[in-house]
Amino acid sequence: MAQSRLEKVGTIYTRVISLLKGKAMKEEDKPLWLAVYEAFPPKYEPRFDRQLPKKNIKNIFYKEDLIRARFLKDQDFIPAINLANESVPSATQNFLSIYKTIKEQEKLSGNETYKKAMQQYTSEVKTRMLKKVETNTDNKPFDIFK
Amino acid sequence: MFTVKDLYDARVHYGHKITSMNQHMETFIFGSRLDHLIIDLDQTAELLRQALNFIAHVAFRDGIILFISRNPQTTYLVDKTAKECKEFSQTRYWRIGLFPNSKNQFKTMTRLPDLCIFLSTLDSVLAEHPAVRHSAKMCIPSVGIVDTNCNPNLITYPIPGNDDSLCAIELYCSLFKEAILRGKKARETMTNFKESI
Repeated sequence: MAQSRLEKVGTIYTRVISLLKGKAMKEEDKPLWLAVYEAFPPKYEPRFDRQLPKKNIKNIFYKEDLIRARFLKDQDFIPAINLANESVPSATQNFLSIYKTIKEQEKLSGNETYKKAMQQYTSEVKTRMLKKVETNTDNKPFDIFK
Repeated sequence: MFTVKDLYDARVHYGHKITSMNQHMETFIFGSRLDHLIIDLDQTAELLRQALNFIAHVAFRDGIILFISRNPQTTYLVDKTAKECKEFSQTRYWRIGLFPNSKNQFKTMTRLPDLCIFLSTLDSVLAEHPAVRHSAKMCIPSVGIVDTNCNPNLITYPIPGNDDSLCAIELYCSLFKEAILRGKKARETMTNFKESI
């Protein structure tokens, strides 16, 4: 069967079509994907030397990134995140939600809102740690050395 | 068959670092978040639909479909998918002559596949899979998941998407399987209809 093995010239479709046109490939040897390709051609021609229009990659930033960056700079300890469980919010998410509610309730300036949110956040973390310590002492394992 | 939300949940939009980007992938990228590329899922959805349509039509015409992947984490999954839709898979080392010198490789006349599906177009971390070039050489159309560090040009129906996460590969496998089975089912009903006449 006639064949063109130059993958860098044209596309698979143009190569097969020109073989058919030049009668190098018989009609009955036509590959079965040809009709499908003709009916539903791909969006971008699969040429080896295809150049799509240049596009600048834009950076993705959000408005709250400024607060996020400041929060992460101020914190010397960020608890670990479980990536498998998406229902538990991370420390940054917790802080941002506190910041948002404070900003909506009281119309303060950005800096003051941040300070207030930080106060609330640290107090929340403290109470959570205390609770953790209490529960840990409750079911302390039996001490064998006593 | 799927929505953009499904793609997002399966983490299809995560690309590689911006420094490892292939320049032909620029069009499919949404942006870069702190140096990590994010793939534009609207384009992915459009191209994936086109590819699934092509796969289903090839399966309808009784074409042979070959699944190819070289990622050791997904080998089992890809083999299982191919088995479930009664097609073929190749997930091990690719001998160079397998397509262009098939008569010698298999010691007999061989019918090459009519469609190659690449779950990952990379052979190792950096090199492209030789089957991408060889399927284009032998005029075999290909459908492939291209990450931001792959070259989409020789793939007939490229699908920009994450090719490293297991959940993303699981989604692609289930979609490809569904498309193939739908094509085969349509063929079956048509032949049954012809026989009944």
